[in-house]
Amino acid sequence: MAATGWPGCAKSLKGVILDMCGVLYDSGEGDGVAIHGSVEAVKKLKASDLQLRFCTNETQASRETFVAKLQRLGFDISVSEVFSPAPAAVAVLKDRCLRPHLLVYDGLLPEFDSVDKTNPNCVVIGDATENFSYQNLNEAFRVLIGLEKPVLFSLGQGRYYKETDGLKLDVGVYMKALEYACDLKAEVIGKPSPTFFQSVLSDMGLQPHEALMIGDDLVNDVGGAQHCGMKGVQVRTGKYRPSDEKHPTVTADGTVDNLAQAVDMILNQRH
Amino acid sequence: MNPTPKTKQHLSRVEAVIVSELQGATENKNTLSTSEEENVNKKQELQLKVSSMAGRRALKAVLIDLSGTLHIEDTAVPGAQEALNRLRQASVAVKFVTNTTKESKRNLLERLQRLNFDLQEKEIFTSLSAARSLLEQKQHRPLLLVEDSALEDFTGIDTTEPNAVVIGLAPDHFNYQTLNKAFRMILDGAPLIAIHKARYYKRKDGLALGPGPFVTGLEYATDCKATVVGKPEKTFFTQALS
Repeated sequence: MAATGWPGCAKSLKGVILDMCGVLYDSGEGDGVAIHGSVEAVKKLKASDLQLRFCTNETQASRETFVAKLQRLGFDISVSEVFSPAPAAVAVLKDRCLRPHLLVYDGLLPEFDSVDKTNPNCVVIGDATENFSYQNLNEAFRVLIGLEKPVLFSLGQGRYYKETDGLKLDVGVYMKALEYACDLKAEVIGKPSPTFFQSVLSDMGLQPHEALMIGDDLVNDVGGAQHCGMKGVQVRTGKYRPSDEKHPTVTADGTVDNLAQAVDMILNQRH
Repeated sequence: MNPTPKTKQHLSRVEAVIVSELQGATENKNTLSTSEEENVNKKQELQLKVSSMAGRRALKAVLIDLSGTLHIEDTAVPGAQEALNRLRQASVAVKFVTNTTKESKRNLLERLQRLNFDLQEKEIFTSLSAARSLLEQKQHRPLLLVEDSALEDFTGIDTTEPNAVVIGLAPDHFNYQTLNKAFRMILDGAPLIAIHKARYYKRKDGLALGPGPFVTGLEYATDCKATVVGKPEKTFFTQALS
């Protein structure tokens, strides 16, 4: 296996995994805004011989809802190609016979319809935005502090994300808050959990070294992917900040202006 | 009048707080033993230390904790008023220190005076005072995320176009919008000042999140460390003695 760096490694790739928010589009008012060149970039990838999946920590809406939104923005994308934390969490809850107290955005609740939520014995937090009121957080805290074996699931651990009107606090901030309050460690479902990336690779039937992740979050997209043995490329859109290029622990295999540039570079290697 | 056992215990605590805080230690007064005999021995040992230190004029100031030391809720610790009066007769400056984030100095003064303690408002130094002192020293203009009842201790501080974030116990301000505002300010370079980092506290209706979790969350979001000004942080004591 050749240990080639970016972009040379694109020659031997068999699959690409794309982050969504910050790579395909920026969320905000209404459907948000497609990032320039991203719709075309996805089309080009689909026309190539590379396998393609989308991997997101989106937890404000069910997969069906946000895929429909992306289709409205012009993207060629279907639910079966998308991996998000909520379905993964539901599987974990059922597997471990856990009944959750949910602190999530209202739009995510349908994903948990099939889950028993009575007499909760764990807490699940997602990107709840306005639902992260003091009262709601207190309620979640009280559930945890009252359990003999408190379990906290965090759907992702992001610090912030970009919306059209600026940066906003992400679920990771509240995960840390509850960890500190209850003196426990949360279990992260979603990026950068290796289990999550592995589920995508398994679906593609690929080994880590055959896949490349493209994302705007240096630690959770790029770092998480690298940790699993994949290559990781960061885009300068979305939540990217210049200080990311001097990060103490994560160095992206490549940094590109946007998805369009990344895809052109990949396909150029494969002619 | 023979001091009651409770008074002996109380006096040894007061004296121990004096000695430990002067030595710059941040040891918690909870490490004091609670057995009567140990208390008496410790008290004698400390009284010797204190009087010899005072005798050598090494002891210039005494910092006395409030809740649990001078009073418990609205009851004075038996003998505490007398102990304070005796202390006043020694030639040391006295300051009353506490970690409150909700009560203004005036509130504390009123409560202590109701319990027959002889003190003045200027002798009270709270974690809010420590925050104010730090803001004045660095000439910061704060976004004050503190209870309304605590705002009184910040009168006179310019809060227009804030360039610093101060977080106390303020459930009303710990909503998504306000925290986002604080987050963006810190990303832009505003220092984060925490009155203290208590994990939770007891309310009538049960346990409730303290400022600690929110400060921790913001530290994570911005990759910055908060300056904590309440006890047992060094900043508290250096500001109290300045």
